[in-house]
Amino acid sequence: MSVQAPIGAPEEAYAAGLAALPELVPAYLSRLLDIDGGGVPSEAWHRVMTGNLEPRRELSADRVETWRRAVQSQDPREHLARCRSLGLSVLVRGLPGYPARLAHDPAPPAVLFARGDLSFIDQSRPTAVLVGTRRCSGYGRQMAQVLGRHLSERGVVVVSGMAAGIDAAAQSGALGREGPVVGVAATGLDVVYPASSAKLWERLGAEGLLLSEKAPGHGALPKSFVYRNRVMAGLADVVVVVESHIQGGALVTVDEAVRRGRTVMAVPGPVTSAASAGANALIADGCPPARDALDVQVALGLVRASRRRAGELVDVAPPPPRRRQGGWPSRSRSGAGPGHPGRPGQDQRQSQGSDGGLEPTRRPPPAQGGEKDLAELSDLELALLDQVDATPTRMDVLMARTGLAPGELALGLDALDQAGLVEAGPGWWARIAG
Amino acid sequence: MLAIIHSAALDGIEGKPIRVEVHVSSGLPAFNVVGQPDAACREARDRVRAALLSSGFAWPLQRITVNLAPGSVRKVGAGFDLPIAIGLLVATGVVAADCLGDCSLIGELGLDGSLRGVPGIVSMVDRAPTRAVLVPEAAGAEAALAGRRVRTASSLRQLVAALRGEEPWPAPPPPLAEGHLPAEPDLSDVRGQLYGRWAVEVAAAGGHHLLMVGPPGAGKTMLAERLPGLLPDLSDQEAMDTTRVWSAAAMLGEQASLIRRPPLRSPHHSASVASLVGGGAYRIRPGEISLAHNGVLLLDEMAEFPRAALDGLRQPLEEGWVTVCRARWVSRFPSRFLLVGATNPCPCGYGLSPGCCRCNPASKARYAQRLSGPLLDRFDLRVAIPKTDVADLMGIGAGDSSAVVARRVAKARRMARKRGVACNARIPVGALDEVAPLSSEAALHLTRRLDAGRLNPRGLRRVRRVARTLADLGEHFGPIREADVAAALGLRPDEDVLRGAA
Repeated sequence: MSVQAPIGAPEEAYAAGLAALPELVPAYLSRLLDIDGGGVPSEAWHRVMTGNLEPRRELSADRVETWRRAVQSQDPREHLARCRSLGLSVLVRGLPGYPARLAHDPAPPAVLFARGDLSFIDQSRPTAVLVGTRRCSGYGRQMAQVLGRHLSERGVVVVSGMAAGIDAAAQSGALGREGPVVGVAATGLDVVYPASSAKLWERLGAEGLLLSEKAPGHGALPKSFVYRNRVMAGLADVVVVVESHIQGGALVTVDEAVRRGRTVMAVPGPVTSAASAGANALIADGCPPARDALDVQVALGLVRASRRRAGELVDVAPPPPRRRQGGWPSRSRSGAGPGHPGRPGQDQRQSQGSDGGLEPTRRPPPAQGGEKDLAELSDLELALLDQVDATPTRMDVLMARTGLAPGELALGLDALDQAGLVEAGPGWWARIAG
Repeated sequence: MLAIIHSAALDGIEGKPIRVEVHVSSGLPAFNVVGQPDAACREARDRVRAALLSSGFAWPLQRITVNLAPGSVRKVGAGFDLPIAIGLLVATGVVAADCLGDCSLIGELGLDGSLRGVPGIVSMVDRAPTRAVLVPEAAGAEAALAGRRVRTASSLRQLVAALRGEEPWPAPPPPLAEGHLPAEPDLSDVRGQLYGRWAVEVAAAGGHHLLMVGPPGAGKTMLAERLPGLLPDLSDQEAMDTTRVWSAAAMLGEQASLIRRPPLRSPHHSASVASLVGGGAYRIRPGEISLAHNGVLLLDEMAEFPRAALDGLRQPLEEGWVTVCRARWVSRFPSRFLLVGATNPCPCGYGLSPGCCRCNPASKARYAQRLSGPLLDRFDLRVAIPKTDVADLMGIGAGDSSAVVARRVAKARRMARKRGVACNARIPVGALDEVAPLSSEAALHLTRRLDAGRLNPRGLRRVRRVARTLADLGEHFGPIREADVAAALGLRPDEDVLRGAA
C-alpha cells in the first residue's frame, strides 16, 4: 500500500486532523504524537494512514482500520481551514504558541483548540479556577457570582468549566470586569453545551478565552468532563470548590490539582446543604476555606493575610436597610404561631402599632431594569427584606415570622422582587446578594 | 292471559320507566324474554322458575313470553326478576290483577325466593311510573331516599301473601334517619404548613382546583384529605344528585342515607380511563369523577397516573358533565368536582430544595411532561409545599380547626351564591368585570405581569376569580385590592418556578 501524505500542510493541520479522529482519548493522542520522543504530527498522520500503529490492548484492529480510512479520505488542510473559519486557533504541544502553563503538565493536552485572547493564560497572571456542581443552590450560585466578580475586579484570571450551575455563575459574575475570563469546554467549541449557556459562550469567545481539547463538531461523552477537569487543574494557580456534592465531579478537579501541587480551597457552606457537603468535607480534611475573594487573593500571594480584620463578614449580602423603623422582633420568636394565616397580621399590627412602621406606605413606581434602591422601599418592605434569608426561606416560615396576611406578604415580596432584592423559588424566597 | 307490571330500568345513572308484559298461552312449553335484555336479564328465566318453584308455586307448562317495553331502552341487570315473577303469577291467575294497584316492582330473586337489592334503586324508584314502589327489604332505606311511597318484602312468598291479603304488609322502612357521618379529619392536625393550609382554605372557599407540588412527606395528602371537611353541607338537590350516582354504582350499602357531606374520592394512580370517567363492559358504571360529584377528587401522585386518564379529565373539568360513549349506548354522568392534585416536583422528589435534587435534567423533563399543559392550566391554585423542618413544628401551635375555617368558607360561599354562582371558580368570564372589578392599583399590577409575559389571558381570568375569593375571605368589599391580586398571583406561580430550579 503506497499512500502519500499530502505535502505542504502545516503541522497544526495534521494535529487538528488527528484530534478529530473518532473515539480517540486524549491520552492516546499524546502517545500517538509522541512529542516528548521528538515526534511531529505529520509523522503520526502517516503512521495512522499506513495502519502502522504500535499494538496496544485497548487499540482494536477495527479502530485502527476506521482511523486509517478516515485519514486516507481526508486532507489535513481542510481540518485547519474549518478551525480557521470557526475562528479557532490550534495549539499543538511542542510547537510555538502552546501555553507555557501546560507545557510541563503531567498529562498535558496534545492539541488544544482556542478562541479568544491567548495572553489570558499567560504564566505571569494569577489564575483562579472556580469549580462546582451543576445542581447548585441559590447560595452556591450567589457565592460563585460574587467570587467571580470580586476576583475579576482585582485582576485575577477566572477559569471555569462552561457547565451550568456554579461554572456559569462564576463566569457571568466575572465577565465584564477587570480580569480576563477563561472557559474550558468539554465539547468542541462549536457545540454549545448546555444549550442554555449559548449567550455565555458567545461572550466568552468575544471578551475572554474559550479552550477545548475536543475538535470542532465533537459532543460531550461522559468521560469528557473528567479530561476537561485535568486541563482546568493544569491552568490553575488556585482551585476553589464553590459548592460540590459529596461525590461531585468538582472533586475530580481537586484530585488533579493536588496531583499537580496546586492550592485547593473550598467555600464553606451550610452544613445542612447537600450541595455543600463536598466542599465542607474538603475543609474538614484541612483544605483552606475560601470565604471571599480576599482569601483567594491571599492564597495567590497577592495580598498579605493580615489585611483581614477580625470578625469581618463576607461582603455578599446587600447592605443592611438604613431606614428601618418598627419591623418585627427577632426571629427567635417562637410558640406564638399565628392562629389563622389569613388574619394574624391584624393582631400583630395591634401589638406593634405604636411603631407606626408596619402600615404599608406607598412606594413610587418600581425602578425599571431591576436596579435596587433601598430608599424607594417602604418601611414594611425593608422590614420584610430583613426576614428573608440568603438561603431559601419557605413561604410558611415568612408567614410565621412576619405574621402578615398572605396578601400583604405577596405584595411586599413582589415589590422586593421588582427591586431585584429577592428571588422566588417553588414555595420559597431567597435574598439576592448585592 | 296477559299481565302488565310496572318497573324501572337503570340507564347510566338515570331511571327509565319500564312495562313488563307477561303473556302466557297454550303451545309448546317455552320461556322467552324479549326487548333488549342483557345477559343477566335473560338469566331471569332460570332464577324466576327456581324462585317460583321453591316458594311453592306451580310452573305453568305453557308458552311464556316476557316483553320489556319500551324496546328502545337497554335493560341491564337482574332487577326485572320480581316483576316477571309477579307477572307470571298474575297471568296464571294465582294473584288477582287488581291487588297490585298503583305499584311498581323492582328486585332480584334468589333461587330460594328471597328478594335482593339491585344497583341504582334511588334513580329507578325516582322514575317509576307509579305512586308506590315495592322493593326488596334490603333496599328499603335506599328506595325511601327518592321520596316515594315504598313497600318492602323480603321474599316472594311473603309478598304474594300480602298481595292476596292473607298476611299484613311488612312494616315499611323506618323514616329516614339522619345518616351517621364518619368523622372527617381535622385541619388542626396539620402542624406548620401555614401556606398550604391557607391554600386549602382558598380552594374550599372558591371551589378552585388545587395542585400541590412537594417532596414526599411534606403533608400534601394530609392537607388534601382535610379539604372536604371545610366544604359546606350539600344542598338538597346536590345531595340527591350525588346519592343517585352512588346508588347507581351500588356503593350506598344497606344503611343508605342521603349523602349530605361532600364525598372524597382518591383513586390509586393505577386507575384506568374507564374507572376514572365511567364506562364498563356490561353495566356502564359511573367513574370516580362522578362519585366525587359535588365533592373532592384527590389525585395523589398525580404524575404517576396514565396520561390518557388525566387528559380524560379535561372535558369534565370544564363542563361538569362527562358523556361516555360506547358503540351501543351513550351515558351522561354529572361530574362537578373540586380537583386536588398532589405530585412530586421530579422523580427523586426533592426538586424544590436547591441542591438536593438527584435527577438528571432529561428525566426531570420527562417527568414534567406527564402533566400536560392544558391540564396544569386548569388549576387555579398551584402551590409548592416544601417539607417543614421538625424544628419549626416544635414552636408552632395548632392552627384553626376545620370548624373555624369551615365557617369562613361557608361565608365566602354564601357571598358567591349572592352573585348567582355556586362558587367563585365558576364565575363566567363575561361577569368578571361586574362581580370582581379591579382597583386601579390591582389593574396596574396585573398589566405589569401581562407585559412581562408572565401571565396569559386565561391565567388572568383564573387569577381574578381567585382574587375575588381572597377578597371574600378577607371580607373586603368594593373593587379588588392590589394585595388580593398579588396573593392570587403568588398562588399561581409560573410553571418553571413550580418545577424548581436545580
